[in-house]
Amino acid sequence: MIENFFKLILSEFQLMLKESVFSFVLYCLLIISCAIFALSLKHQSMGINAPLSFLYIMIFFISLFKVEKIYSQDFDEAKLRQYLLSPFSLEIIVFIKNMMIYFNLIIFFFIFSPLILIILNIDLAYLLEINILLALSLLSIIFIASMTASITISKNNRLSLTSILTLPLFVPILIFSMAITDLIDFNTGRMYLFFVAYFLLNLAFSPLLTSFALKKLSI
Amino acid sequence: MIEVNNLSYARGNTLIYKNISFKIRPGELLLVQGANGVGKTTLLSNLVNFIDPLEGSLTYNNLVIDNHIASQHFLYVGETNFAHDTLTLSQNIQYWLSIHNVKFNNSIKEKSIKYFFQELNLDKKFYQLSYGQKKKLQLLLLMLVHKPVWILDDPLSGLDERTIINLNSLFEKKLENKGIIILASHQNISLNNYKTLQLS
Amino acid sequence: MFAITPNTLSNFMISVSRYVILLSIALISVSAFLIIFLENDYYQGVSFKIMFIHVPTAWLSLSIFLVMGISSIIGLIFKSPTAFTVARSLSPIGLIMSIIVLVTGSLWGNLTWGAYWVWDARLTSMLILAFIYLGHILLLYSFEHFQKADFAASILAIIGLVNLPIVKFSVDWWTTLHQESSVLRMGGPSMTNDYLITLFVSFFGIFMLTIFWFSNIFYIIVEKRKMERSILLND
Repeated sequence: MIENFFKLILSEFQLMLKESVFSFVLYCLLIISCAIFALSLKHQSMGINAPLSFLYIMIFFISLFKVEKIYSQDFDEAKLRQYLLSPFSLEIIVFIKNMMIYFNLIIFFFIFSPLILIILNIDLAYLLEINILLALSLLSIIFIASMTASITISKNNRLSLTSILTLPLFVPILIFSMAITDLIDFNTGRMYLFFVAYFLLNLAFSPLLTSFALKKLSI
Repeated sequence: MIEVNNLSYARGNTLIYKNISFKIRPGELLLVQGANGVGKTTLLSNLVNFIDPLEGSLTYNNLVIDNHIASQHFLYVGETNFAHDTLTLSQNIQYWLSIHNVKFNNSIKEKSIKYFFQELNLDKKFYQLSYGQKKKLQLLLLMLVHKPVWILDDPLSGLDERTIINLNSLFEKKLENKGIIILASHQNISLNNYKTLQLS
Repeated sequence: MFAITPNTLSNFMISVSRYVILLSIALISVSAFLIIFLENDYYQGVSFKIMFIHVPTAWLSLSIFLVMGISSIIGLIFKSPTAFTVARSLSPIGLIMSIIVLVTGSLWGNLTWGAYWVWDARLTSMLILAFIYLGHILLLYSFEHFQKADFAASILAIIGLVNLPIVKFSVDWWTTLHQESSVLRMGGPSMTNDYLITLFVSFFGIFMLTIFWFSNIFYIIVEKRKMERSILLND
């Protein structure tokens, strides 16, 4: 069982590498939109807040797209029927998948972040803080996105608009990260604790609820 | 032994089937037949506990079939393909064997791959294969995953003569070993004795 | 306790509902009487009396969501149809309550702050709560099979529970325009007794109205399901 578990992780890793072309395209779109944002506001003197919240919202949408695409591809009905009859519980598979999506997105962000900061006129001294902020909050975002994706990809669902209706659920994390961008000058490590706590909460509930929704709604 | 009593199922507000009862003992094959849309696939999904019945009971060796029992004893092969398109054929085989927690044994694996795929390049991407070749990957699970009950949804469509003969001999061997096969198909199968269930 | 079937609960609710509505009418008329004869506030004048609708509905819209979330959790764990049906019949009530809160709040805000809407933490999170109620209802009706709809909507309700503490404590965490809690707070309420009594009378009146409404919706859903099931099985 353990041996097969590591083989499963290896195969998921291969799958993730094959899918990373899509993330690359998404990041190119991100850079283009950042350039447009910076260009249109070149006469205003912006602080760190406006560009940072723009970047944050773009990253949020990117991860939403990515999660929804991967879920509709990798949890279609035929695959799900096999997953349900496997000795590994669906929660574990969902967890591995989420972590792979996370690594894929965050590694691309680490690579692109200096370029993005230069485009948005943010001081490169903030590079490390912004990376930590993104890395911590992206975890929770992906775990929540997996829950909403599992509801919306269901073939029994007649309204495809529901993915918009579940967007309010992300608001707590957006509110808190905005609060952090206000405080980023003062270097408060204590606020990061919120993200860790929120992630632990998600870690407990999200794979459970996601796999439950996939089981009940997609077949 | 699989026992089904007064099974009914409704999707939304439409009744799919009502009061189905049958018994299958070890070493028997049940062929589920019927026109399109009478609920063959739904009945098989019901047996594996993918969906909950409206009324009625399902038991395997006098135990109510739940997720745990189903994942221990049942192997399901559906009509749509489950492989990952971007992986190669050998990567796909590796992936689904690890999902089913199969003990890795190279000689058996190579023998069964040869049995179905003959001389095919295993490094081909999965989306480059034809429909029949894709179907064979699903049937490969029958040889490699050892579970007493097979539930097969339309396994014979799109296969060539030789594979159908191979598959039939596989069925015979399974029935000799006291396995249970439940099969939904439009074609008749060339076995000597089997039960049929006509849905209407 | 979780073995209560929807049928027994609906019979019980419909049998008490006639006394509940009588009580509710009595309480609401008493509170209307009290509100009319209450002294105006020194700073805010008559507009202050919107509070007696605004605050009870705000409490109810939060607590209805709490009940919905808890019953969704119970429904998922114990597979109880009763809990799912409770959540299903509560969400339209919650939506209307939160809409009343937003409308009365913006009227009151226009009279005292001079603006119908400001983007601060409590107003925004209340708006989000209304959207979650709306999403819950739409999700319930976007599935053909009512059981699937119940599962999907219950997951939405459970995730939405995170929003609740943020709505409740947002006023204390951030400095906002909205005033701080004056009843449920550390060190006792900051209102005088006559205001407090009026507030509680009107709260219980609206609460009883909610229960009456809930029991009727619950009864209708259960009866409709019974009818559909008997039609299905007798065809």
